[in-house]
Amino acid sequence: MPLYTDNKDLIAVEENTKIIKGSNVIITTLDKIVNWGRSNSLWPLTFGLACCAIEMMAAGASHLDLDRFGILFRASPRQADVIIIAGTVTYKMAPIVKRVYDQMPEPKYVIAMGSCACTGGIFNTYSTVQGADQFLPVDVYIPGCPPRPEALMYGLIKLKEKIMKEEGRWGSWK
Amino acid sequence: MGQLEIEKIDETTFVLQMGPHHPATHGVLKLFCELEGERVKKIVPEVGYLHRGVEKLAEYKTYPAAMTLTDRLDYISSMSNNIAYCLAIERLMGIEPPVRAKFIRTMVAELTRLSSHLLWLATHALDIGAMTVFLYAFREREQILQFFEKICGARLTVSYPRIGGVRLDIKKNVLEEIYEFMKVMLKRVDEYETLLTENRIWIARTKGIGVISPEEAVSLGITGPALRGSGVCYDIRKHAPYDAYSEVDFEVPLGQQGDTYDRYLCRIREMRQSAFIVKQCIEKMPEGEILAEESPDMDLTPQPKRIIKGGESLWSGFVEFTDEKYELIPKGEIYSAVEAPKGELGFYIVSDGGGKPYRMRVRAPSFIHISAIPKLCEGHLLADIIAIIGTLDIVMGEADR
Amino acid sequence: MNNFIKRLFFIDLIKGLIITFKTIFSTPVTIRYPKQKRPIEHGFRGRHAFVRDPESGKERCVACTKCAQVCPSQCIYIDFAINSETGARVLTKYEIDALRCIFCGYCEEVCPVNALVLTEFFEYASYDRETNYFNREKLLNNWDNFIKHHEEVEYLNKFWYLPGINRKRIPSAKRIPKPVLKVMDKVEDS
Repeated sequence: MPLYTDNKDLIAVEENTKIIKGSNVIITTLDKIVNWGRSNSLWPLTFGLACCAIEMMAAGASHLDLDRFGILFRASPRQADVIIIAGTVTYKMAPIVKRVYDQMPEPKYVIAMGSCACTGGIFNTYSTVQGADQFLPVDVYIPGCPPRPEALMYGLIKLKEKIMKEEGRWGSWK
Repeated sequence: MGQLEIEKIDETTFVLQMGPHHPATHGVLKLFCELEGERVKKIVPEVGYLHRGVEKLAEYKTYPAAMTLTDRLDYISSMSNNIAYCLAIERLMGIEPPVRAKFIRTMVAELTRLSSHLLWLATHALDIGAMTVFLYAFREREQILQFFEKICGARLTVSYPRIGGVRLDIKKNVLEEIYEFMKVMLKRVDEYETLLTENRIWIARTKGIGVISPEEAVSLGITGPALRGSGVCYDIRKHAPYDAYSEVDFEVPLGQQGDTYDRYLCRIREMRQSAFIVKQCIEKMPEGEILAEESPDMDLTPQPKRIIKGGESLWSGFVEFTDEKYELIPKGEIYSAVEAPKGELGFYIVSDGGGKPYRMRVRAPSFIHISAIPKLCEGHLLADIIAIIGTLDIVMGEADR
Repeated sequence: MNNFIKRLFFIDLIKGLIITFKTIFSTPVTIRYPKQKRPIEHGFRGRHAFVRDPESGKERCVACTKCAQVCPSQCIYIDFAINSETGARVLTKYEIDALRCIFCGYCEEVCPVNALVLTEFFEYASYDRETNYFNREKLLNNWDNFIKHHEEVEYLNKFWYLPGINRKRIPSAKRIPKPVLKVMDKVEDS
């Protein structure tokens, strides 16, 4: 098949995505291609605080393999895109969570997993932060105590959808 | 604590702060390691990163509501915690659960022990470098959690037992499924053993690491498989049987050297014993009720019964009343312990007669095991600290409370 | 000697590798989640809902406030007025903060009229807190969404009738509870 054809009909496949008829070329916006790449390689930080971390491990283990989504757990915040706040954040732990979050490169996302990370849950006490959104910009809240591994996956899929809708977050010169 | 360490150091040593965000410290534990080259000279653990105020919070909740807090202490084995808590209050009230409830409790407690040990094996092996065991152990653990979901509708934080029994009855087909699974489970344990027990890397990483003598272990207050690995036979299931443990046969596996390898063997054997106990429970389980007559209601409210003093003043709306003479839970205090997967889990409860515990104190095995880390790590390499933390099986939710 | 031969020929490692090799031929346990879903066990404690009574089309709640009393995390907020003619309680506000709830199931267990239920639905992660702050209408909507996808015609929650417990201990309305019948879509019937 010749690479170049005279027939330059564009066929719209999706919104903002077109194929040139008769050739192997897809035309799309830069936003879309960046978001597509970004949403398919979400690397969360291995960061467990309490009960929810066990379900996070279960989601990464054999029964519900998170690697299928391109989600690999990274131990270093420098390589991570997502931080999953899995468990109760105490006042003693909050500065450390904040520091770990600050060490992550842009763009970064936060998932609050479980009741404790969302609102403080049952621990409405002197030592517990009442929700991770008091010091971090939370993108997705996953209810449950702890949420099922499937619920965590649903939350990650929700985050993917959110990333796909972003506009102009792909460079400092935007 | 950390600053003190830094002040003292000389030029030959180096202080490394491990944690609280470290993938291998099992939660949020911080260790100040004073190193000489790669040898550990001194270690100081710092706890409290997961202190949620559970003991104080329990004083503001009714007895049934406070049980949900115990789920979140040692979140890997929530069933054992619930049973320990319920048992303490049952002993305080002097009630006895029906026989079927006792067998159900024993069964779920052993299932919890299996799932807890599986998680321990998975993470311990992963820390030392055996990825396969992690995936295999989680495969079986997921099935046990599936059974919990069938029994009570939740996977981790079950809230299944109740004061004076259990909450729901288990159907016969579920029991049969569990029985079938236990046969598979025994084969799986053999598989893990083939992967690890004779493996030269595993032996090199665990043999002779973190040796503790029986005397030291006892004086440090270590309990559970960590103590039995040193050869001390102390098992509450055997020595002060609760629930239906007096009616089932099982052995208490013991180690000899008291190193990481022996503790590993102990836990592996314990998994086999647990599977045997579950099988026996299902075989011996009688029919009948699952909740004692005298057990308090779920909506046990802190409101005392109002005894009207001035009989004629009802019309005004200002009723004089007294709080005395009405005891929901009898006055007194009790310490009762069970053999949780991590060790001796005790609840000390003081009751003032009201609907809420006056004081609840938790004797958490993990907290006491953390105090043994400095002793165990002395003189070892930095990489061995990971193996030692893994072998003590620490859960920070329980240690910090 | 025996040990030495074992070490020399890597018997220990080969034994382990045989097991991992065998696993290639076993059926994989992985569930391809968004496409293929694990069956949720009956009685799983998921999203909250108010049972829409098939007869009246409203919620069953009688505003006894028992659920708010037993709730360990205190995430249920109830307000009621008293009907001056009949003296009955009328529910004016019922809110559940699902993000604070710990899904212990105490509320559905004590409810004397089986009005509240924790459904087997768990996919409700949200981008903000408000979405999962359920008021009366949202709770009823949750029920409609749940019962639409429920396969059986009858629905009876485990925690509504508590098998194995002496019936005398349970409030009279809960001793032998009636299962909720699924209301078929009227458009389809006609």
